[in-house]
Amino acid sequence: MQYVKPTAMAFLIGGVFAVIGQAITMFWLPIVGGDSPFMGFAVLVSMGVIGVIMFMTGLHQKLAPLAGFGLILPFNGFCAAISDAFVNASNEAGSASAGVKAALGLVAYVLGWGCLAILVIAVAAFFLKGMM
Amino acid sequence: MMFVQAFLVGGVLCALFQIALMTTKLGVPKLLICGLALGGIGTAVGFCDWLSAVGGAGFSVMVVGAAQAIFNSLTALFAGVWLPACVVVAIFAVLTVFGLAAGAAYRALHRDAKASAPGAARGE
Repeated sequence: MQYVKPTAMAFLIGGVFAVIGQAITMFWLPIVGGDSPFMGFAVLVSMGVIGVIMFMTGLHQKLAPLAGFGLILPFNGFCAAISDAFVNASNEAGSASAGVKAALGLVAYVLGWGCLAILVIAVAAFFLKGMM
Repeated sequence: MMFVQAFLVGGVLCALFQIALMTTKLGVPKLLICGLALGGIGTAVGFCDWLSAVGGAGFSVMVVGAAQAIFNSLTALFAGVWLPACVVVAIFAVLTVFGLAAGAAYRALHRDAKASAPGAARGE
């Protein structure tokens, strides 16, 4: 039973950011163009800006314990997670450079392993399709 | 209608990851890596194309959606097309700089304040 509430909150808050992302996509679509490779850039960076605003105003910090993955999985959460890592580590060590190190370490860890996994899958798919 | 679909797909994805966070001991960073890997597999088998057709941005603004973008940019890279991969790298570079800038600004504004309680809802 203790799982129900966090799951529902993650669903609701994640859903809200999905709707915001959809609105942002519809806003950029006529400006950037649907088949432009920069479409993803416009949308994800806009989500990042939302993450930055939420973090600066403290809204992210208030919502994060409630929302769980609802605030981690959308891309505004990616930005805020970096800010979070920076603030926590630099407060602990008392220097900004420790924060930068911790934040970049987190990015490198997640994206490094994540991209490596995707690369392996992409290479495998590439050769499998070549054989068929 | 698109908004409802985006809400449902985005919400369900977040809920699934939340359940995985609570029922496993993986923790957030490892689950994000799993999300990227699953997104890669999903794209390879065509499942993510279906999800993004149904969920629109509700899928593509999620980390799993980013995996699709990374996968597609790599596939383009194998075909000798550089631009999508450069865009993906640019996205992550810009977001990282944003994140650091927001963290630095927040810390400057709230000298004594802690960020959101470390560990809370983060599965640590």
